[in-house]
Amino acid sequence: MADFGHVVILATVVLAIYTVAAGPTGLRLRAPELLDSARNGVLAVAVMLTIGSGTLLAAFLVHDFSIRYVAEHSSRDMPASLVAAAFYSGQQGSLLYWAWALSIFAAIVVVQNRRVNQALMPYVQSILMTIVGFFAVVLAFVASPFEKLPIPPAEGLGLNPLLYDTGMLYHPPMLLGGYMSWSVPFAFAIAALITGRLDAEWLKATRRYSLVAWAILGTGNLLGAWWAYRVLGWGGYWGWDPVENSAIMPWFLGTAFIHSAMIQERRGMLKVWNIVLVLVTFFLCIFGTFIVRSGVISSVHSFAQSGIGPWFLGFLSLVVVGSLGLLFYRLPLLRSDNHLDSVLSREASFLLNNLLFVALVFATFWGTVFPLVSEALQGIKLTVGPPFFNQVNGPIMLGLVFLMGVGPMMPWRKASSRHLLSNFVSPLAFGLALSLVLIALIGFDHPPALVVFFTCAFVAATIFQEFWRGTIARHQSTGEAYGEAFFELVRRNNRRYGGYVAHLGIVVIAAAVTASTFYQLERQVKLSPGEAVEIGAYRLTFTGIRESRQPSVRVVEANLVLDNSGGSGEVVRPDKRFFRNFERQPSTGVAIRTTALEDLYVVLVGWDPDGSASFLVYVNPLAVWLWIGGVGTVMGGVISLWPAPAPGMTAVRRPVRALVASEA
Amino acid sequence: MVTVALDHGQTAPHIATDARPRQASDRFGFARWSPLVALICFLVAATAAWGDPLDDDTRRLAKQLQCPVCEGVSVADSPSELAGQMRAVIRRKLEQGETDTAILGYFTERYGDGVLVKPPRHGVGLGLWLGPLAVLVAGAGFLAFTVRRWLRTRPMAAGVARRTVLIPPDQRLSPTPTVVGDVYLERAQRELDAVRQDR
Repeated sequence: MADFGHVVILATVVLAIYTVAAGPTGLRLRAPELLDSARNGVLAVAVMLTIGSGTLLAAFLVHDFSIRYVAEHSSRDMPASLVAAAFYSGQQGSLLYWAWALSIFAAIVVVQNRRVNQALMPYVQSILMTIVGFFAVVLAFVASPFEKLPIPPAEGLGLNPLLYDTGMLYHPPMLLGGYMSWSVPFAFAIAALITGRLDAEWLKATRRYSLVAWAILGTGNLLGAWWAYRVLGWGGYWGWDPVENSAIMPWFLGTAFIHSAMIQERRGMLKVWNIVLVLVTFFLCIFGTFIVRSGVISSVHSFAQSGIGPWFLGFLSLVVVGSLGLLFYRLPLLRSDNHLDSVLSREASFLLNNLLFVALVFATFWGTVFPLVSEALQGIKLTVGPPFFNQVNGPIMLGLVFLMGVGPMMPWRKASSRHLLSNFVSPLAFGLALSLVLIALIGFDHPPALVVFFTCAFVAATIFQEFWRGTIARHQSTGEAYGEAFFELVRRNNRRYGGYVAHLGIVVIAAAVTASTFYQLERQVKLSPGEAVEIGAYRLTFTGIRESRQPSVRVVEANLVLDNSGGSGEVVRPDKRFFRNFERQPSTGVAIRTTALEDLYVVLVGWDPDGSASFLVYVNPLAVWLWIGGVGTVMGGVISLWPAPAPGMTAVRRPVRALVASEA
Repeated sequence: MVTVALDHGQTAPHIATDARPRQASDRFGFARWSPLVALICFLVAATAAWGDPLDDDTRRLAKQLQCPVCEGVSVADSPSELAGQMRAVIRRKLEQGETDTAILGYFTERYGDGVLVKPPRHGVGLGLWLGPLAVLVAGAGFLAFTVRRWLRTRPMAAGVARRTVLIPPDQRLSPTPTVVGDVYLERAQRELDAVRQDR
């Protein structure tokens, strides 16, 4: 099995190299056969990597411990789903997964574009296959998942206990998939640079792919936060850890790109800027893939380190130098078609959005690499913890949330003051009213939090106002019932209203993050059986601790009876789990009791022979809204992605009278 | 799944001594609350005594220190032995009445500035805080400069050029030549653009 897998990877390398060369050669020699051949090469690479991945997966499922990777990452007593997930639990497997997913994505792109974008596609294919080829080379010669053990052990080592969770099934594939999928917009941008076709063509071709990449990467980050919240047991979901930072940076920059691409599409401006954004987003994706694995910067994710660092650094520098060189070579072709008409316009608000996103990404990057910088400059490896990111990124993100309320209300080119007044009066009033209510309810303890809540309320109100006005207008012009008018409004203008849904999701996230950051309650207590701890509206009585054994894991569980002011008698059960082979790193089973208003979050820290135990107890306000907002944001992306009904079709389907009415 | 006793004799889940009084019937009116109130007061006092305020303070300080031997975990959350000892030191120093700054200073003296989760705003650490600010300011400056240039070199600035357009006599509404400002032409063009874009 191991040999077969290895041969498949080697064959992939050969195929990828051939495909890289075939397309551009075909163009130069004007040989359509070669172009067809390159296209089929992409499909063949996808099939090869599918076979390779299938082989590794099969090796896992039949517990073929003669393969080192399988022996080191799984054992017979793991549930089948986790055995399958162990595929990407180490570095070799996750690189294989990355390459495989990209080859599939590339095949989809090739099939979808078989009749369009003919000028760009040969280069797009070449670039995608270069990336896949690089991964295949690493997989074949540096970090092979099919390396054999001289003496196969009878039992595998098992999975790192931190990964022993349902989160393992979703977070890594989504995040790696997000990194991988930004390769496609990157490939289109480079193809546009090579061919010199730098109008909106490549942007139109990539719009969907960028949105897909954005949604996948966003979901990956969200799932990571969710997993951390449930498993790491420190009461939070985001620690501004280097690996988290490198996962969120491309997402921030990708978000900036999705917005500024609209200016180019509409107004032919910012051509250089858009290329730069796509390029850097892809750099950050490679950087992110690499940093998880390199151990250059210390992180809680450092369970998967290896010597592939130099390879990735080399590849990354090659990509950076090559693509920036191309960009400078093409600068003369990247003139704006249009100019800015007014500072009060949609374009200007997009510019501000981009400025803030760039500052946000820079601050995050700067904080992430600063320990290295300070070490190089002064020999002191400083630590950059959450306070820096909260204090610097917090205000920038607040600015972005505010822009979400202002920007979409601005017309293209130029706004009039009357227009502004009519759009912003009621949302501002709503925001102020809500802030006053909040001050009455929760007091004036944290002014920054109140500013955020005001902004969130204002932005949410502008979005609802948009939906409301659109629905009313549609109802009046077409005579559709309100529900139908609303649905049709979103369906026919899905790009715009999908954007609003995503914005609304972000508003909800912002409110939830602010609430759980500023208003979190935390207590650390040591309790003997029968004693209670009070936190917020809860009282928890510790009733005792007990232990249970399963073949591969020992679980120590504490029971606490919850006496919520109503006296509910619910039992909360935080635990610690000791997995075989990993007895020295117990994993934490956090007990979370979720309500719409707040989460009660209990962690068992330790216990003493006398039966007492110590706990960390948190109350995290609005925590559940973080996940709801996250799902909303991704859904907004999906709505914008959805193919809009073709204009011709709608005209035929709609009754003529309705058509006339709506045109009037 | 087999449930076994812990080594230290704490067998079945221990049932808490029920702190809540049985609910009295309504005849006793307001009096029925007094034992409850008393008990809650007692419990609060008891938990306060147990959940030593020092614990919370220790944790607050430990959160500001980076565990020197772990990866990206604060002293408060690290399971390592060293972090445990550091927590003990913090606690002892708090008991001796030392101030927060003195305790943090003690640790920076021994482990260097790298032990602080939030880097100091002096020396090299200053660069950390100024970096993003510099980028933001530089970016804003560049943007302002570009926008100004764009606004100034706009192909035909509204209101600047006025041109006389001679309308043929048979199409005139009035007998005199009409002056049509480019302002209006441009505006019409814009509105046409806007309509097209909104489609």
